[in-house]
Amino acid sequence: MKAARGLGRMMEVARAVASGDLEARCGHVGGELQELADAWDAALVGLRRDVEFALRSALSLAETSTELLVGLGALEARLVAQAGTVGEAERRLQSLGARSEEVGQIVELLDDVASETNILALNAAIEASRAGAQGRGFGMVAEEVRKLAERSAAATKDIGAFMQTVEGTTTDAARAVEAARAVNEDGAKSAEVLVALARSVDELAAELRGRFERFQLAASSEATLVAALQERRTLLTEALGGLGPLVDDPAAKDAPLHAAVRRLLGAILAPPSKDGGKGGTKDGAKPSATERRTATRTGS
Amino acid sequence: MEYDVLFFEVRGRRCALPVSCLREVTPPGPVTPVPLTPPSLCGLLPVHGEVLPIVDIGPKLVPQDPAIHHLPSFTGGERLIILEVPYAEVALHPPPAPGAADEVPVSRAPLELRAGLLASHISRLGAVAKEHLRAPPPGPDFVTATIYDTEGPALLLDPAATLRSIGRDLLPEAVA
Repeated sequence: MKAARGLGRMMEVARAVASGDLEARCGHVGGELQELADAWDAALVGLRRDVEFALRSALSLAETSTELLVGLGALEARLVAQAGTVGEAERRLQSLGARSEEVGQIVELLDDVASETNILALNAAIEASRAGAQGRGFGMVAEEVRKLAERSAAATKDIGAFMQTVEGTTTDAARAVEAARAVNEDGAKSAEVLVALARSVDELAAELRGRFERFQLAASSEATLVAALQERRTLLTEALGGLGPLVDDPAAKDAPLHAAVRRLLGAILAPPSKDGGKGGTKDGAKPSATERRTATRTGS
Repeated sequence: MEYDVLFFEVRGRRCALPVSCLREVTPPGPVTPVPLTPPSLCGLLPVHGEVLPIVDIGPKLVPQDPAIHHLPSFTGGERLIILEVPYAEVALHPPPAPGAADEVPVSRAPLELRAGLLASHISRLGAVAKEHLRAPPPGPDFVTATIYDTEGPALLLDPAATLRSIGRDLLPEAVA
């Protein structure tokens, strides 16, 4: 008989574990199965410890992956913003290059004007020379104009050389920005890959958390009931151990104490309430085991 | 006594022309080449509505230099010196036909002949005194003297003789 009850208890525990309750224990089954039940309980304790560890690890992994995802999202946003900035810089450099070309065209125009002025001054000097003595003053003016044109041509060449330097620098800067843009694009692609990986890790962590939280939730909901049942079992054992002689005494069968014991047994054997079978007092406070034992002994 | 000259360069040779024979200096335009002409005649170019022959004395000054008969393009620094000389000083006449009279036919050409002389670079206008002149180096007959000034020697060209030289290239049998 005891063996059947023990096997039944172990079966219940197995079902409870299968449903996610890792707090279930075989406890005292007595007889030859006690050793097996103890081993079963020890295995369940180890399983619960491992599941708790796995759950903590899953939670930690989930938190880490979430933080990683957030960080990568921020990195991706920064890379996108940086790409925009680099693109803007590239556009501005292109505009600067176009402006430099325009300035180069203006410099060419100035050079042409200086050259034309030089020729004009030369022809004026020729005309003045052909005019003889009357054209000598005009020749001097023409010579001054020619010198002015030469200075303009020299200044224009300087500007042209400077603009070539500016164009070269602009070209170098445009190449550097282009390289930065390429690096940025590579970084954005890498960030996208990392974000996808982090999402996969996050989903995996969420799945693991869900699986292990099922154990914990089941354990937390059932654990209180099991604890209450174990406590009642303890109380029952103590009560029966202490009151057994009185119950078995035919002379005391109708005694008030006998009735009290019966009420106590009925109360103890009643199904536990949803609050975990804690019983409780009128003010809702949970009675201690000592109080309950005292109440049992006094029959109150 | 001094007289004004224009210093310029032709293929690296420093030259000078009297200002009295110069009309103007102008950038070269697209010269139209003339077939079957000597290398010294580059072609024709309209200047202020008048079609002028463009001559290059480079092949005469630097014979070893490859002649450029037709100018494909200019590098940008070249200039045309427009010469204006009395036609009578330049005019060549075809050789008299056998049995014909020795009289030279009356020319109906204009009084002045204008032509463009290609210069690779224009230097400056300057005054030259006779004491700066030396004998010309061996070479073409249109080089009349060598000018020595602070910038070194320069070949003084006779404009009419220069154009006559080109004319003789065109009509070897002609006479002055």
